Amino acid sequence: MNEDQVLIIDTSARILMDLCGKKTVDAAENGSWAAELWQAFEDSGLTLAGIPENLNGSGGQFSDSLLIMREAAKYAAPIPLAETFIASTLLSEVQAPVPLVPIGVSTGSLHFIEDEKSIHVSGCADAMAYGGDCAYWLLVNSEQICLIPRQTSSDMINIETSVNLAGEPQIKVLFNKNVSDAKLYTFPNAEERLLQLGSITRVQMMSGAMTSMLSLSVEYALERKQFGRPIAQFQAIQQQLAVLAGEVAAAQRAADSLLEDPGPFNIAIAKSRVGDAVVAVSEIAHQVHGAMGYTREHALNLRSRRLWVWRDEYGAEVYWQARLGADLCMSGADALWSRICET
Amino acid sequence: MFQGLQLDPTVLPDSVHALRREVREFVEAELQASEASDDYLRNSDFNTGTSVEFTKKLAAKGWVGMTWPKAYGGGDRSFLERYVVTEEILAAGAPVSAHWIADRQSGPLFLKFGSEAQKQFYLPKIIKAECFFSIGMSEPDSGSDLASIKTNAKKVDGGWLLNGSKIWTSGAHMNHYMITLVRTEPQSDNRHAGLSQFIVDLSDTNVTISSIQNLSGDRGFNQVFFDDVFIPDEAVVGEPGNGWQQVMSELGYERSGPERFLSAFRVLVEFIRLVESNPSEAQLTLIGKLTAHLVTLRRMSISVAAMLESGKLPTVESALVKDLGNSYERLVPELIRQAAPMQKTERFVDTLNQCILHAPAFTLRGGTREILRGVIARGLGLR
Repeated sequence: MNEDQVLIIDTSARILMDLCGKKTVDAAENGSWAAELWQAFEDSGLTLAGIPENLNGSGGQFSDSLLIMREAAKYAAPIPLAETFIASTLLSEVQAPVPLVPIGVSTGSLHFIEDEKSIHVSGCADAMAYGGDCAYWLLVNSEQICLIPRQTSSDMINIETSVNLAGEPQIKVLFNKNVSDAKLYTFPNAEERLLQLGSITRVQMMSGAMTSMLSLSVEYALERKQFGRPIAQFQAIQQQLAVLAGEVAAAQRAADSLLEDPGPFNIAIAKSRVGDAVVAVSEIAHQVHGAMGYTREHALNLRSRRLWVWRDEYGAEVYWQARLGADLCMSGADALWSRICET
Repeated sequence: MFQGLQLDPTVLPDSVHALRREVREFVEAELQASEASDDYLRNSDFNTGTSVEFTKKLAAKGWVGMTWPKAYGGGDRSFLERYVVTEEILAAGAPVSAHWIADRQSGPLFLKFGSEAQKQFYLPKIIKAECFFSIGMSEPDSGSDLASIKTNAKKVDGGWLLNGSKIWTSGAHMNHYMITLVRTEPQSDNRHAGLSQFIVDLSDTNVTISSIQNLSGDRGFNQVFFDDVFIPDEAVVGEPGNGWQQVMSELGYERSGPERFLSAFRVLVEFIRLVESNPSEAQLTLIGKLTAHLVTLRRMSISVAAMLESGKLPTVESALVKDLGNSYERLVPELIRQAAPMQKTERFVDTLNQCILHAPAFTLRGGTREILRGVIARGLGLR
């Protein structure tokens, strides 16, 4: 991590401590857009970190934005930093300028037909996180990406709003409409790239949430007294927390590897490994917290419910493990070690 | 945040690529030759393979004691280069246990705490694969509670008189010396005080070595008895009474290396060989899962190697790598057994069975799972 990145993390942490308490997250889960929090990130140039300045970004490195979203996930920040990162990265990869606003991203079964004045969009955009709060949407199919301003329901568009089990808002949009102000770009294998970028974000976010769950668990074990002493003094608790720490450290090392090398093999490794850590991390953190951690009131669930969502987004661990396994079987048993050493 | 959980994302420098290729080609050629001559089974469990002949060949290439100063015949290479050599040898499943302890632990101990005379006598011999070492720590009544050892020595003219017994001593029947932790002062309130490290000559007539068979049928470890063994003052390593601190400083090396997660690697290789032409979805998923865990463990281990290289003492980090690594290598044979097809090759079955038979030791040797987790808990500030 370089000096700029230390500063970026510090700035993010300060904003989050000021503006992303449990009340903010609860309010967002009840449908209120965390405008002030988003604005503070946007004003600090943190929403388009790593996007080149000539495309309206803040400049810096690709890994800057990964560190920001990892930090934000420690606070369960209810804003589409990851979605905006995915959309802006896709746009920048075709040298397209990026608007400085929250951007939703979605794929599904989408078709785009361009004529002189507008672009006809048809099909379905699935599960667009924070879509209702984003000023722009980036729609993705197998070979194109299409940036359009946020739409509202009409005869030609049907929008269904829902929340996932972390209480994050999402929309499903059915299109059959000519959209003006749309920009269409050719992007070979765009859906695969979306899957990669999405996994990169979920790995960072899961690692951040897990780190925070470890801190909460250790704090709670030191505070909570039973049988006349803090439960941290019981070996049964110590051994469990040591296992938790191991999984968190492994997840963090896997997430860190994407800072240096965000290539396809590494993405598969990271999503496979970090996804595998979720069961132990959430189980132990909750067990240590006892019934208190099972309440809506305690902050633990803001992290654990997000873990349970993020692990399944952009390919659950089993999906990536199967892909990785197919790749390794293709290269064969005797090449396994050299494949491992290439990482 | 917590002590010992921040594993810096180190990667091996590009300069190691040529070395890696050289080691890989050498080891591969050696193993193919030995496989052709007899029924040699590749096995990445470092406790189960001993070949003095192979160790001598490695030594001739300069790969034993390779990080030690040139003045003693060493290669003055970096710790990360040594890392590459050890992981290549283990991944190939070559027999390494003859020189393993001397190369990993005894030599570095001499360099850190030994006298000049000890360094000049032992290091060149280790480097030439003429002398092998055992570790003497555990006793019949002292395992995880190492400070409770009873093997003791009384000061006599010019040295010490050693009595007692060590157990689970790998290779004592083949090795030349044992670095032995001994109580040299009666136990006091400070349990860690009054311990010393001696170099015991295993050919001494007052040393008795009694073989212990493990459940696989192998006779790798022993109980070693000392009956008035005279230890000259020159054979004390470091300061008398400083034994505990010296032993603790070895742990970073002992616990974080690739031998802590590669013990079951050949099982994974043979599993891929068995299924690669027609794998099921479940088999693919398992291969991906086990590889993802392995790659991550290796990265964590390399991070610790870099910390050691920079002179840090990563006690908690090492415990973390070993605990995760041992849990992983315990899991590999079990998950692979469940996913294996009905039709298996002899090679696969032999490799799997050897691993299953040795697996109980993975989470014991070098510090039990429970002790390691205690170390991690201390790093978390819980105790």
